[in-house]
Amino acid sequence: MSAPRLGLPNLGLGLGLRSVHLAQLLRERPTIDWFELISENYLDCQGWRRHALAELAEHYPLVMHGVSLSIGSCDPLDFAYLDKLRLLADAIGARWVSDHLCWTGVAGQTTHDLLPLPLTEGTLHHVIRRIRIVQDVLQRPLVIENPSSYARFRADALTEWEFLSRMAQEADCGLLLDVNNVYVASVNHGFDPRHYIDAIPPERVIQMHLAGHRQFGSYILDTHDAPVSAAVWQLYRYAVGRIGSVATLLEWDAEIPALEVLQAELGKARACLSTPATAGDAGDAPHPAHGASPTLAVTTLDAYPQLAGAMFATEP
Amino acid sequence: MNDAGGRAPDDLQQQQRWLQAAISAANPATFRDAADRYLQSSAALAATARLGIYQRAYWARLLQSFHAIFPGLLQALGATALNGFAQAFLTHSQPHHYSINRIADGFADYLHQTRPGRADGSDWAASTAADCNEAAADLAADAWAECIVDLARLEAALLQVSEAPGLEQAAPPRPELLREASDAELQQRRPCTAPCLRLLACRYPVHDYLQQVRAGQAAHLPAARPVCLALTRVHYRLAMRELAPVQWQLLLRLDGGTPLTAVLHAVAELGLRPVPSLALARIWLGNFLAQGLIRS
Repeated sequence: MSAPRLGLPNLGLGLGLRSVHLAQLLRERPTIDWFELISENYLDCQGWRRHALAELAEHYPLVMHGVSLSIGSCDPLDFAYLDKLRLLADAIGARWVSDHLCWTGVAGQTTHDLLPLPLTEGTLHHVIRRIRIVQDVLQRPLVIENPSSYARFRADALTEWEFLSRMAQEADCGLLLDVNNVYVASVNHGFDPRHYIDAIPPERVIQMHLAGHRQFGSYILDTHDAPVSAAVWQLYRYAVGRIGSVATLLEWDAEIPALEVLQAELGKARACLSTPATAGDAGDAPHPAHGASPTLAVTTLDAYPQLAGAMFATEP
Repeated sequence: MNDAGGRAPDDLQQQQRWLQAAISAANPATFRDAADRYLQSSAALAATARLGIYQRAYWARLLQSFHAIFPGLLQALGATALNGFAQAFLTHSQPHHYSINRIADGFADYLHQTRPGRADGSDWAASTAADCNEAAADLAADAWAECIVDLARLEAALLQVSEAPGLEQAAPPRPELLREASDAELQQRRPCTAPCLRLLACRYPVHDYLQQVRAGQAAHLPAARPVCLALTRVHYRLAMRELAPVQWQLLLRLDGGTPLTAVLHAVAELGLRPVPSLALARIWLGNFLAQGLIRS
């Protein structure tokens, strides 16, 4: 295990906490280092999921990963939402709180999507100022993830890695390096993903994400519904060699397989940690599409409404 | 102005408003001409194609969420018709809450307000009972619409019940305390419903239909039969109970502040049968307590 960064520990290899696995996790308590929950699935829930979360918090380290902070939006920060985040983090002893470099809505509307920001000096200062406020309210460091992206603005004056690096240093926040997102963006926008990773300040990276994606002709969608691709594993090895070993988490949000399948994927991550690349080749072809529809949602979250998982009294 | 006195850059605001409008528009094609003005193109992917990815993702996520909240409506209407209603609703009432669980707030009311026979019922024009599900073909269009609205209300209420505070952490119910209480003591009690209780009066027994759908059985939209439903959660499991109207009216008035004697008096004035005597209330409240409809 590496030394703490920003006072935050290396938690090891974790899984995204998904409703379909909650009962099994409570029953079997498998050996998994830690879990990351989607904050919004629990903020207002006083039912089964919240109960299960409280139970899990007694046995596993938990990290909160949000999808609605909207740190780049021009709308005012939602302080009621932030208060709820802080209360939940306190209640479950969350090791840290993360969200995405994005915006989710403006003018009072929300799109429930992680939308790209124009990467300009003005946006950078706007985001830095808001991160500082959020960290004051949450009373803990905020960890910001690089998003998957499919579009860049004409107004862009900075690369994403320049933006993230300056943001992290000036706002004094942590970074969640989503290796799959780096790869997805590198294909969609045409850059060398190793260059992106080289430019990120290693001491700011608290956590990494791994996930599967699908290719649709000339672009890749960050679908989180497939195994991690060979190209992303290579890039992960490269990132570990460059940045060091940090808490790493596997996300799988659609067509979610059995827990044992996810644990096997974590085993691959463990192997990468023991053989980090120093000059890895991240240029392999991405994971091929499996007949999925291009109208598939760009899924980065287990944030679909939860009633489908609710049990009725008459059911077994 | 923005939070803490800061001000977001004007150009950022303009770009965000444009992109949001472009991806959430009912007819996204109308925004594609402007894509080149805001977004970069590459040899591999034009700006319009890049915008199209976000447009499809926006609607796919929201419509899939409707499918998750309304499995009964999905069965009754089919995906095409449910998507049509959801898209019309979301265009009329865009999402505002940070939780996607709240995306359908107001959907049932919207369906009710736009049902056939109303001046603004155009959303229903393309979706008749026969179009949507052969199981519904026995119902006349207006009856079918009423049934669909009932089903939407039921499924939205169940989502609330599943998320609301419940009685799971409360002390176990002790119905014997009600049975053993003197008449005078019982009359002065101020019973309170469970925080997760939702009461629903429907014109169709849509709870039976939903149970069939959830059980994977062949489900047919039911014939009209007014039902009074109490929805609650016990040990984290959802329960739907059909009550006598007089029992339902009694529950409706148990606000934790009104003495039982006053509640019984108010219910009696409704003229329902059986007349809610104290003796009956003693039995009913004991049952309500055991069923997780009221708190101790």
